[in-house]
Amino acid sequence: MDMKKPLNPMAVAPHSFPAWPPSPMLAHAYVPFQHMGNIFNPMEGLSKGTIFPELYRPYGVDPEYTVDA
Amino acid sequence: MDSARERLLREVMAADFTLIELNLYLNTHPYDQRAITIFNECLQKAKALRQNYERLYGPITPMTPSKCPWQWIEDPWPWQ
Repeated sequence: MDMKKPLNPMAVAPHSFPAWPPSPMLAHAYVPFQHMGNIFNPMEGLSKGTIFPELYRPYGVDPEYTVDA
Repeated sequence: MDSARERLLREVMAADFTLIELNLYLNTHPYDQRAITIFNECLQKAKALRQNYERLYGPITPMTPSKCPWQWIEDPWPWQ
């Protein structure tokens, strides 16, 4: 069977790699591929714990991800 | 530690933190030319900040050229 080889994210330019696999399979776990946008300035990044706005999710703000708030 | 010294040290810490973040990102995105450009720019800024701090206040780590007497043991320590 001629299976199309999956893209290797290490070997392609980041924006040609999709955040999610085009055909996700049941019972497989996936982590969406990050695409870097703007970044926080260094002082803001240090105080927020990340330079990536897309990864900034302070504990307690989103009740969906807060156990004891 | 006086406030100007502390402010400059925090800038060095922030610049180093940005580099670590870009380092981790680039480990999984080694072909991201824009991120590499930003990393290289941030590295120059971090080096300049570190040099400026060490020129004014002494070494941040012991792996720094020293005058006599040995500067590393002078107070305050970088974390004081």
